[in-house]
Amino acid sequence: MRLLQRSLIFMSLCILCLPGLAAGNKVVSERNILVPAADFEIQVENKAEMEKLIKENRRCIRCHQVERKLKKIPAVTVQGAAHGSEKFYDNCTACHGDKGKHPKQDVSVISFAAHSPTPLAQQNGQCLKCHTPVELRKAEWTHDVHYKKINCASCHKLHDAVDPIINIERKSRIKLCVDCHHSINESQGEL
Amino acid sequence: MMESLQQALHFDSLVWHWPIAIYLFVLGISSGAMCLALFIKWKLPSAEKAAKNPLIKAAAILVPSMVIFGLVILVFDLTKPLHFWKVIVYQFANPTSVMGRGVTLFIVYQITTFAWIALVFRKELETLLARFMPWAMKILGILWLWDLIAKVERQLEFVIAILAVLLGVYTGFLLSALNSYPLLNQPVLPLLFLASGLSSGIAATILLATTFFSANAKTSGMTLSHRLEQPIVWSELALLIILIIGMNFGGEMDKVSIDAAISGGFWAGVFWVGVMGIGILLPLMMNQITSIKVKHSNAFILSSAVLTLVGVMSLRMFILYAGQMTPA
Amino acid sequence: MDYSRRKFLAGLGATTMFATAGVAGTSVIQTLVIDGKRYGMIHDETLCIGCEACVDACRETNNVPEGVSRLEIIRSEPRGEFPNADYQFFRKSCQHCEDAPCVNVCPTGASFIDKKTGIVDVHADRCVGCMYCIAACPYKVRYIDPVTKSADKCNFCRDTNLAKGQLPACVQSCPQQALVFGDLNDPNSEIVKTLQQKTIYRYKKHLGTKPKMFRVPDLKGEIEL
Ligand code: SF4
Ligand code: SF4
Ligand code: SF4
Repeated sequence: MRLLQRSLIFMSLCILCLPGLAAGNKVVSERNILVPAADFEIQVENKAEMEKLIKENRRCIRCHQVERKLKKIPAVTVQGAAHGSEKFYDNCTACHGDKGKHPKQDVSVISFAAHSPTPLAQQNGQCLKCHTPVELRKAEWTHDVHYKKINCASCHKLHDAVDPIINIERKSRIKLCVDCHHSINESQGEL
Repeated sequence: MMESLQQALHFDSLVWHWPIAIYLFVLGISSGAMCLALFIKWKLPSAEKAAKNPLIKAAAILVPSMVIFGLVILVFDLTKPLHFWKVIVYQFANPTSVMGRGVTLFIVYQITTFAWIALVFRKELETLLARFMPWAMKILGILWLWDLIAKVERQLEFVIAILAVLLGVYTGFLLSALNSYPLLNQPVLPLLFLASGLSSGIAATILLATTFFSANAKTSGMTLSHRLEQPIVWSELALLIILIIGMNFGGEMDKVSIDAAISGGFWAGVFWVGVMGIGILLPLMMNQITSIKVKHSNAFILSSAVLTLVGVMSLRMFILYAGQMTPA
Repeated sequence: MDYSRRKFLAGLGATTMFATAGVAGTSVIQTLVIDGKRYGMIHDETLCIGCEACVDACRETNNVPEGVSRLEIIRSEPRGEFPNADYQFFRKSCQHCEDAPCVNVCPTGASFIDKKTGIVDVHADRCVGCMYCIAACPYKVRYIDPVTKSADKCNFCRDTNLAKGQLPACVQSCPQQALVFGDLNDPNSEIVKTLQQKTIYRYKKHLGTKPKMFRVPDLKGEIEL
C-alpha cells in the first residue's frame, strides 16, 4: 500500500517536473524572488542618461574608493554584491541619488541609516522603487509591519558581499525580534 | 486525479485512518450476524436443529472471528501495540469513556457468544472433544458447565441480543462522541451504524452460508433474512436522509461539514456511488424488478450480498474520512 | 489546515465569539471549585508580534522533538494594504479545558486533569496510543510524541518550569508580555486582574469545553460583520 502510494507520488512528481527540465534547467532559488524583473536597466532610457550616470558614479568612486580619514568613512566597495554593478559603475546613484552639493551639503545625497539626515520615508521609498510590496511580502512578512517604522538599512547591508539578514537562522531571527522589541518596550516606544 | 486522491486520504485534520473503518465494519458484521442467528434460531421449525442450519453455522463462525479480527486491527493500529493490555487492566479508570466501555462490552460479548455457540453446537463439540481431547471432558467439569448454560439458554440469548445491539450502536457512539467533528457528532450515527451493521451482518452470513455451507433459497431462515434485509435498507436510507437534512438545519459548521462531505470531491463520489448507489438503491431496485425465480438463484443471492457489503464498507470509510475533513 | 485557519479568521471577526469584558472571567471564577489552584493563561493578541520566541522556548524547555510542537503561533493573512498591512496572531496550544474532551474519551485514564492545578496532562506510560484524544480535541493541539509514542501536548510546563517554581517557558520568553499565566482562583493574581480589565474571548467556547486559555482579540483594522 505504502509502496504503491509512494511510487504513484514519485511518478506524478516526475511528470510535473518534465516541463521544468525541458525549459532549460533553470534553478529558481528563493533569492530570485527579490530580484525585480526590470533589473538596473530601468535607470536609464537613452545614451545621454547613461553618460550622465557614468559621470556621476565616477565622482562617487573617485573619493570613496579610499578611506575618508577626516570623517572616518571607510572605503566603499560594492563590486559583486547584489546591488553593485560593473556596467553601471558601482551603481551608487541608483540608490543614493545624484551627488548634488555633497559633500558640502550632506542632505543632497540620500543616505541610509537610522541617524541619517534623509527622512525615513525617503530612505525606504528608494528601495520600493525596485522592490514591489508583493515581492517584499513574499520574501518576508515582517516587511509589511516594519516598512513605516524603521529604515530598511537597519537590517540590510547592501555594500557587503552578502546581505547578512538574508537566510538568517531561525534562532538569530527570533533573537533579533526579541532584542529589538524588548528595547522598544524598555524605552516606551522610542527607538 | 492522483492529487485529489492524495488529498482525500491525507489531510491535516485526519487522525483515524482506514484501519478504524475496517474495525467498525467487522464489528458491525459480528453484531448483525449475531442478531440474525438469534432470529433464525427463534423462528426455526421445532423439528429442525439449529446446529444443522447453514446460516447459523456461518454466523457462529463470523460472530467471534470478526470481533477478534477487529481487535487485532485495533491493537496494531495503536502507536504502542505491546501496551494493549493496559486498555484491559485500566478499562475502568475512566468510567465514561466510550472506548473503555467498548472494551468491557467486547469481553462480555465474546464470553457470552462463545457460551451460546458451545450450547448450539454441543453435540458437535462433544464429539470433537471426545475424539481429540478425551481427558478434557472429565477434568474441567465442562459437562456441568454445559448443563448450567443450557438451563439459562433463553436468558442468555436475551442478553446476547442486547449485547449485539449494543455492539452495533457502539461503533456509532465511538465516532459520535467526538464533538470535534460536526459530521461525526450526530445522534443518528449510532442508529445508522446499527442498521448498516445489521445489513452487513446478514449479507456476510448469507455469503458465507451459500459459499461454504451450501445454503440456497430454500434453506430455512433464508426467506427470513431477505425479509429482514428490506426494511433495514429502507431505514438506512431514511437515517441517511435524516442525517443530511438534519445537518442542514444545524449550526454553521454542521452545514459546512455536510456540504463539504456530499457535494463534491472524492468522498462525495464514495457517498453517492458507493453508499447510495451500490449499497442502497441498487439492491432495492434489483429486488423490485427481478422475478421470484431470479431472486432465488444463488447468483442473485451472492451478488446482492456483495453489493451490500461494498455499500456498508463505503459508508464506514465515507463517515470516517468525510467526517474528519471538517473540524468544529 | 488552510480551511480551519480561514474559518478561525472569519470567526475572529464575528461578535458571537466574544465574551463580554471581564464578566466571563469573573463568572467562571465564581462558579468552579477545584481544590487548590486553577491555572489559566491569557494570550494578548494586541501585544503579540508573532516572533515565535515562545515556540522555541517551549521546545527547548520541554524537549519537544522536531516535527511536533506543543505551541504554534498562527499568523493570519495580511489585513489591509502595504504599507499599512498588519497581521493577527493566534496561539495554538492546549486550552486546558475544564470539561476536556480528550480526558473524557481516554479509555485508560492516561489523559487526566490534575486536581491540584487544573492542568490537563498525560501519563505517558499509561497511554496506549489509540489516538482517541487526538481526534476528540476540538483545538487539534495533541500529537503523538515520536520518541515515547504517547499522546502529548502543552502541560503549562507542569513537570519542567512549574515544578521548579518558575513561570512557563513561553511566558518567560515573550518579549511583549503578551502571555499572562496564573491562578484563576486567586482574585489578586495578575491573570484575574487582566481578565477583569480587558475584553477577552475564548476559542470554540460554544462547544462547552470551558477552555482556560483566554485571548485578547486584536481587532484593529477591518471587522467582518
Ligand atoms: S485543548 Fe484539547 S488537549 Fe487541551 S484540554 Fe482541551 S481537549 Fe484536551
Ligand atoms: S506552558 Fe510550557 S508547555 Fe505550554 S506552551 Fe508554554 S512553554 Fe510550552
Ligand atoms: S513570544 Fe510573545 S510576542 Fe512572540 S509570538 Fe509568542 S506570544 Fe507572541
